[in-house]
Amino acid sequence: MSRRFFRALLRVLPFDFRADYGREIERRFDEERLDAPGATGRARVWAANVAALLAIGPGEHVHQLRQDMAYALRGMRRNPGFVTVAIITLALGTGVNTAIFSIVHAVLLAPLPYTDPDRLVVVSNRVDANPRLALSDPEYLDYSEQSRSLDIAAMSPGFVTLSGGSGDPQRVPSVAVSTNTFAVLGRQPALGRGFVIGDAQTESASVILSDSIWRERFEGDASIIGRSVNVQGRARTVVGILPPDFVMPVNLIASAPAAVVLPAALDVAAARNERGGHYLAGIARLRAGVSIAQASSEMDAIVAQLVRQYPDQHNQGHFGTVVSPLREELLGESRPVLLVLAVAVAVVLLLACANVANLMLARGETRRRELAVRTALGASRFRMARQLLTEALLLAVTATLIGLAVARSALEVVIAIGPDALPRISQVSINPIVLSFAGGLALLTTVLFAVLPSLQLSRTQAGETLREGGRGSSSRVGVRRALVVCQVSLAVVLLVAAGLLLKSFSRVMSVPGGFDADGVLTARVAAPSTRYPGLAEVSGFFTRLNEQLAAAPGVIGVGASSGLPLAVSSGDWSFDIEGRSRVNGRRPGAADWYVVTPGYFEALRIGVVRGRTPAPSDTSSSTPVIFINETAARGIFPGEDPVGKHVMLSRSRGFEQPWRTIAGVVADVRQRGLDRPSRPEMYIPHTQFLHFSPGQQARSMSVVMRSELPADRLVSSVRGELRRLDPEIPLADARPMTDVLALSVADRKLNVLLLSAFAVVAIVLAAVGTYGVMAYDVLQRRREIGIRVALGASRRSVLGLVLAQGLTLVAIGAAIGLTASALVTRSMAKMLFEVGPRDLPVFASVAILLAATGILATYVPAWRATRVDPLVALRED
Amino acid sequence: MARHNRKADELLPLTPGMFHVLIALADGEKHGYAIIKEVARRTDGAIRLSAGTLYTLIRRFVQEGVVAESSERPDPALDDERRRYYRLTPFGRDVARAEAARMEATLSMARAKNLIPRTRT
Repeated sequence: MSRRFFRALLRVLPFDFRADYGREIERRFDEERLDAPGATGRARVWAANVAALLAIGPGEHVHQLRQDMAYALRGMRRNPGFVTVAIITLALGTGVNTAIFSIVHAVLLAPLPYTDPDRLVVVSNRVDANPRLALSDPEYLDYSEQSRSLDIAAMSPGFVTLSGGSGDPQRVPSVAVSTNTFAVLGRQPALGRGFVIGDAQTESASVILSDSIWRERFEGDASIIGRSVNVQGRARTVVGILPPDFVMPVNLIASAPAAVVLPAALDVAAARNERGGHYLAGIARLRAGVSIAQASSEMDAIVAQLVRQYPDQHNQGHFGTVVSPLREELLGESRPVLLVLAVAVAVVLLLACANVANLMLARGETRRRELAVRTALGASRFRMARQLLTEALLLAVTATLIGLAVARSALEVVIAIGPDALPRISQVSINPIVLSFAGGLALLTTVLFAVLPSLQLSRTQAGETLREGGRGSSSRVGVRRALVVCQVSLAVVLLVAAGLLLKSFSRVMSVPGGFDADGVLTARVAAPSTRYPGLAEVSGFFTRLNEQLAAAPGVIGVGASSGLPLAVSSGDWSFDIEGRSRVNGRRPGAADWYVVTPGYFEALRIGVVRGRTPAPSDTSSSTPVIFINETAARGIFPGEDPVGKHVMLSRSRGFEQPWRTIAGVVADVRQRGLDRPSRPEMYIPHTQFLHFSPGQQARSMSVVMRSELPADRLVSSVRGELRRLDPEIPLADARPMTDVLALSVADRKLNVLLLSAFAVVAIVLAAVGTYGVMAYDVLQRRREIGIRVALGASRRSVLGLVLAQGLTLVAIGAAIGLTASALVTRSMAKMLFEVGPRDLPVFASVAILLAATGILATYVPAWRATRVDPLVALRED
Repeated sequence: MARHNRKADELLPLTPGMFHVLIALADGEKHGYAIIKEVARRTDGAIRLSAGTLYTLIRRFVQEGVVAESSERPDPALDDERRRYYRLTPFGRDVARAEAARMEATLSMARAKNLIPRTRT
C-alpha cells in the first residue's frame, strides 16, 4: 500500500528521470524505512522523502525542458539549411497572413463605432443614370418627416477654414449634420452636448470639434466648451468634443475624418417644390422591430406619393429609393478586393505549411535510421517524440516571432501605399487572435510532421528500418509528391491572378489622362464667405490670385478649377438647348459641371478641339459663355458643331440662369479616375458662375501652376503670394499633380503589389518544394540509379529520367492550377481593366514561367543523379 | 554525455550535498544507499539526502561526466540485482579536488581574519 503510494508520488518527477532512477529511488526508500528505528523513525523517513520529492519535482521538469531545448538547438545547428528555410518559410507565411487578416478583420469584421451598428442603414435615391443618388434638402425633410420605420439623419462632408487656438488658420475636413445625427448613431460627444434643433438656425452658430483637433489646436482644454472659435471667418460656439474613436459614417472611408462638425442648415419651413441639389447622405436607424424590407417598401410608398406630387422634379427616369445596410454600403468595393487578397494570402500560408511539412518529412526520413538506432539502444519512444516535439516547438515559436516582425512591416507598407484604399485602414493594428491562429497553424504543421516519423516507427519495427537501410516508405513519398502537385497548382492560381492584375494596372497606367501632370503643382484655396460674400468678391479674389501667381518667378501657366482631374469631381446639372424641346419634362442635356478661371486648360495642357478656352475677357458683364468636352459634344450634339449653340442651365432654388453660348470644345479628361470613362462635362467661367443653390458661390478652387521650379520652392512662393493677398486664407493640399495621379491609382497599385508579392512567394515556395522532393528522391534512389548506370544506362538517360519525373509533377500541378484559375478568376472581373478574366497571354506566360521554374527546380537534382558512381552507390548499404 | 576538455572549475562551487556525495565516492564505488548512509554518518546526521535528492544529484553528475555508473559488481552472492554502483571519474576527482582547494582557500582567508579559533596542535 505505502509502496504504491510512494510509486504514485514518484510521478512528480519527469518521465525520463523516473525511467532511469525510479526503481533505485524506491529501493533506497525501502532500505531507509527498514533501517529506521520505530514508528516515529519510519514516519520521519516518510516525511523527509515526500518533502524532498515535492521539492525537486518542478526543478527537474525545468531541467528536462532545458535539456530538450539544448538537444533541439544542437540538432538545428547541425542542419542550418533546413532550419533557415523552415523558419523563413513559416515566418513569411504567418507574417503576411497576420498582416492581411488583421486588415480584413478591422475592415470587414470589426463593429462600426456606433450603438447597435447593424440597425443602421443608408437611404439614397436611385435613378436610371445613378444607382446611388444623394438626397436634396426637401427630399431629406420629406423622407424623415413621413417615415414611420426609420429615424433618418443627413450629413454632407466638406472642408472649412478653422482658426483660433494655436497655429495658423487651417483648412480642415468638416461635416455638416442634421441635429438628430447623434441620436440616430447612438453616440454622444465625450464632452459637452450634441446639436439641438435650434443649432441649425444661423444665429445660434454652434460647432463640435473632433478629439484630435481639440488636442492639437486647443491642448485638450475642457474649458473650450462654451468658448468661440472661428470657422470660415465666422465665430461659432464650441458645444461639444467628439469621443476619440468616433467618426461620422461619411468619413469612415476617408483617411482624414472630419475635424469640425457643423449643424446642417436645413430649412423645414422652406418651399419643397424645387427638389434638385443632391448632396446629403441619408444615414438612418431602423426603428424597433422593423426590417430593412419593411423600411424599404415604406420608402417606396413615400417616394411614389412624392413623384405624383412633383412630377416634373422626378423625371430622371425610374425615380426610387434604396435602403441598404450601412456596413454593406461602406464595404461595397473593398469587399471583393479584400476577399481576393485574403484567399491569396491564405494560399501562401498553405504553401508555406506544405513546404515545411515536406521539409519535416524529408528530415524525418533521414532521421529514421538515427531514431531506429536509438530505439534499438533502448531510448523510449516517448522520449524521442518529446525531443522532436521540442524541436518543432522551437521552430514554430521562432518563426511566429519573426512572423510578427514581418506582419508589422507588411502592415506599415500597406498603410503607406494605400492610406485611402480601404475603409478604416489607418486604424488597423496587428490582431492577436489572427497572429495566434497563423502561429497555431505553423505549430500544428511542424509538430504533426515532426512527430509523424517517430509515431510511424512504432508501427514498423525498428529492426526493419535498420535492415532496409533507412529508405523511405513509398506511401510517404506519395504524400510528398501530392504536396508538390498541390503547391504548384496553388502557385499557378496566384500567378494568374497577379498576372491579370498586373496587366490591368499597366493598361490603366497607359490610359492618357487628357492632361500633362509633369511640372504642375496644385493646391486648394477657398475664399471665406464673411469677406467674400458674392460673385464679384469671389471671382475678384481668384482673378487677383491668378495674376499674382502668374507673375511669380518660374511660373509658366496658372489657372484654377472647382474640380481637379482624378481628385475632385462634381455631379451633373441638366440644361435646355435653344431650339430643342424637353421630352416628358426632361431637359435635353446634362453634364458634370466645373467652374474654371482663364489659363486652367493651358496650365494642364488640356487640348482644345474647337473654338476657344476661357479668357480674361469673359466677365460678368460680357456675353455668358460655356465650354464643353468632347464626350458632351458627341453625346449631346451628334453630327453638329456645338460651338455657337445656346444652352440654359436648370434653375432649382438658386440664381436665375441666363442663356449661355458654347464658345469652345475641349479634349476629354479622365476626371473620375484613369479607369473610368470620361463623362459629359461643361466648364463655366468663374466670373459668370451662378449656383443652383441660393447664395452659393464657387469659393473653393484647385489652383494649378505649371513651372520649371521644383515643387517645394514653388509651394513656398505660392504661400507667400497668398499671404500677401489674404493672410487668413490657408493653402491646402499643396502637391505635385503627379502625386494626385499616383494617389488615384494607389488602391489598384496596392492590390497589384500585394498579389504579385504573394505570387512570387508562392512560386518560390513551390520551386523549393519541388526541388526538395526531387533532391530527396534522387538521394533515396542512388542504389537504383547506380544499378541502371552499371547496366549501361547513359548519363543522358538518367538525366532524362529524373527530369521527366519532376516535370510530370509540375505539369500535373500546372494543369490543375490553370483549370482552377479559369474557374476562379471570374470573381476578379471587377478588379480588371481592359483584360478578360481568361486572358490567354497571361495564362500562357504563367505556363511558360512555370515550366522554366520547374526545369530549374528539377535540373539540379537530375544533374546530381548523373554524378552517381555505381560502385559507390552499390557499396553504400 | 560526458563533455571533455572542460575545466573542473566550471562546476564550482558545489552545494554541500554534492560535495559530500563526491567525498563519499572518493574511496571507491558505492551504491546509492551506501552513499546516503555515509553522508549522514560523516555529518552526524546534519545532511540527510533523501533518495530523490540523491538521484537528482547523481543524474546531474552522470550527465556532467563527474560520476559514472560502475560496470564492475561486487561478489554476485552479496550483490542485489537491482543495485547500481557509482564511481568517481578522473574528471570527477578533479572536480572534488578543485572544490576542496576552493574551500581551503576560503578557510585560510577566514583564518587570517581570526574567524576560526586556533585549535590545539
